[in-house]
Amino acid sequence: MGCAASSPASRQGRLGVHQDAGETYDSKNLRTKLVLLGDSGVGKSCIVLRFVRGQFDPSSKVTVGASFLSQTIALQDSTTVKFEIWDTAGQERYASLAPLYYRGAAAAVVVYDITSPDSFQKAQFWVKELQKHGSPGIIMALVGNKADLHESREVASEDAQAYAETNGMFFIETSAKTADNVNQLFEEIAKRLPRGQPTQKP
Amino acid sequence: MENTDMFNNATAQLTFHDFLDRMRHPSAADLVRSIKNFIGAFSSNPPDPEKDSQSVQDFLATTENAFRAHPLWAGATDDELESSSEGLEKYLMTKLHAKAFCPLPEDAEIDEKLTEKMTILQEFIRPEHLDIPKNSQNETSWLLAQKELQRINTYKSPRDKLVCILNCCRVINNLLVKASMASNDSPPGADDFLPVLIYVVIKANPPQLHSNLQYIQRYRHQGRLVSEAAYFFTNLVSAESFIQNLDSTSLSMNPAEFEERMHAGRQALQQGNGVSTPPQGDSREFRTLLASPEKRMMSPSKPSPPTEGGNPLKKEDKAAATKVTAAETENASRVLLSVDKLVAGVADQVLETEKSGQLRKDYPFLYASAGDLRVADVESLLHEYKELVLRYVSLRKAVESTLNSEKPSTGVNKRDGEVEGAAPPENSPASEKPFDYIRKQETATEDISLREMASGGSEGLQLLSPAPASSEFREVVSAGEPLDSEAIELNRKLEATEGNEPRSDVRRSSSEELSTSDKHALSLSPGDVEEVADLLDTKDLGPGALEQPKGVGTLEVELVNADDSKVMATEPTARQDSSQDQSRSEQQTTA
Repeated sequence: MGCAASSPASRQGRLGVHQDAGETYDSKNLRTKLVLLGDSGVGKSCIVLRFVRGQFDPSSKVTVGASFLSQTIALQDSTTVKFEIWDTAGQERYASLAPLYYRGAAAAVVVYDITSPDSFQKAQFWVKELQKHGSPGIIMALVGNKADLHESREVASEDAQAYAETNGMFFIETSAKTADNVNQLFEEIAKRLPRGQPTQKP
Repeated sequence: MENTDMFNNATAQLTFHDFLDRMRHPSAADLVRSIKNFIGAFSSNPPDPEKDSQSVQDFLATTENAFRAHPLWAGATDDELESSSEGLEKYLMTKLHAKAFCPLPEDAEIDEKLTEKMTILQEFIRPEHLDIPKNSQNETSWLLAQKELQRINTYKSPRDKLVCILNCCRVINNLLVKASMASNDSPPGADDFLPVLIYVVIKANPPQLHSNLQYIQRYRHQGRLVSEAAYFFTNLVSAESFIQNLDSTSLSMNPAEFEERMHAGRQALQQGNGVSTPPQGDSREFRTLLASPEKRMMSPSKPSPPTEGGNPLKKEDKAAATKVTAAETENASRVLLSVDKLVAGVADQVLETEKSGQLRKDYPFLYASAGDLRVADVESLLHEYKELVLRYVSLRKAVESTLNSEKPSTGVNKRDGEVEGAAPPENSPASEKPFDYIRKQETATEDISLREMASGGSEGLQLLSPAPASSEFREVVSAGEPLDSEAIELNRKLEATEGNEPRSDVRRSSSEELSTSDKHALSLSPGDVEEVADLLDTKDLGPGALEQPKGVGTLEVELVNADDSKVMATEPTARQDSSQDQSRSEQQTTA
């Protein structure tokens, strides 16, 4: 899997940093449900972990799984966005369950592995799915992960870029291993979120 | 809070008691009236899930706003307000449970089908069929997760039911994290989590899964079914959906073999179900049971008609019964049948003994009716029951091992041997079970202490015996007498010995949490009694919280060790329970 570089120490999360109680969400403080889709093994959860882990205190002893994680980021316009990141099982046999997860999501990140054309095919399948059944106005990102493995690249950036443009998504290549572009991915999504209205269904 | 705390709001910190306290205040009279009116109106309309859900959601929202504006909550912190809102939801839904839970016959039908399917599936499904990698397989520890799920019908409020689900997910998650650390894999995501959850759900075969999920979806305050709770809830919904649609193409196994096994399972079930329900009451049922234990085993999870949804006893009975099915069918069914055959073989002799009156002498409560029972009997009844269970289980174990050693082909180590339908011994549900019952008993005792005060007798006494082994009593004990003040006093004492740790305080968990989780009881002052009587069964029975991964982690370590030495980790817990029980009964004697 894609998190090969992570050392045990860096895998550790911290509990209880941010309290939810009493927090309010308004146009300045958004709460966003983000769903991750993509073939199993493309490193969906690694991307999230990399994103979340950056802000973690590595000395903490508590570890977390990566199926659900949340992370708040502050933007330059002084808004904050709390991402609640829902991972989905990428195996074929669970494909029909995905709508349960992306229902009500404000953003979807569709991940493929740049070394696997199959996973790119699967990503396109998810994009079509989301266009048909996702929340209207859902923000979609196409993410080519494992960019550090450029020597084994099988999916050309240009192809993915072109596909993303035709489908009104933004495209980025990331490496969960080196953390390249991971924060940028989420910041880019945060910037595109609509302001002034709740981003999650009540 | 971000990441890993299932119940991040402070609602859990303050107890249900706080809500009751406030509602007792004279100035809350208007609120109390409005709540009662709502309950009255809700209960008198015919069931309409969509509309009912909406009206409860609206009412919760309106009343919570009323809290905010009410002088009683002047200066209250957000936490306190949240706590009151949780209290309201719990109170309301406990009252409305009968009407709101499984309201339509269709729901009951789905439940029944699902239960049946899982009963068959759990006989042969292996982790490999869901491509769960070897290094994250841990069937023994998964039992813990299963147990959390199986407790779901012990509770009436949506939050408490939800906590069962979250606890289950948390156990799985923690086990996966451990496994991934051990093997230096990447941290577990949904790719790893969902298959294990599905496996655990099938093995647990939780009672009325479909109805429970719908109930939570409809009646858990929407504003609180968000974030991590919503995520894991969704996982369970998707597990249910997967199981409902599961066919020969869904698993990594030969489709023909799948069909064959499903067919065989269905036939076995039909044979088991073919007999009409045994006559109720007196020793006839006892005789029926004695004569055909396997029938009982195969059919208990049949849901009762939805109109009976209000009877928590039925539910608990079923919960317990289903649990038995889940656990027992996991056991090598052949061995089990042999045990039952043995039992059937001596049935005549037992009936002889019964006729001679010897049974009555040895087991004084065998034919007791509710009217005969006094509060003082509760303790001895409970003791007798526990002793019986332990004796029964050890006997059964002994018989099983004898049978196993006679047929060496069944019992041998199957950790990797996925082919045999016979369940692998590492599951050893039988060794798990007795202690489980004991823990359940603890809960039941609490039920009595509060419920009896409230409703007087019979319900509480019935609750005494959630385990099928003594289910005869449930039929027998049909009408009770109100308990006197002495009983109430006694109950208070009993509770005092348990300590009043607020159980729903999910943040304060430690590895002890698991053992104390069943023991929380509301502390009542004499003045409270009337109030509680009115509030009936709204005691704070929040599910035990395994909330912090740390606690679970510790436990898991125990389990892993236990796995090797074949000692169940729950044993110390159980011992603790029984010793506590011991001291309790001593307390009673001195009192």
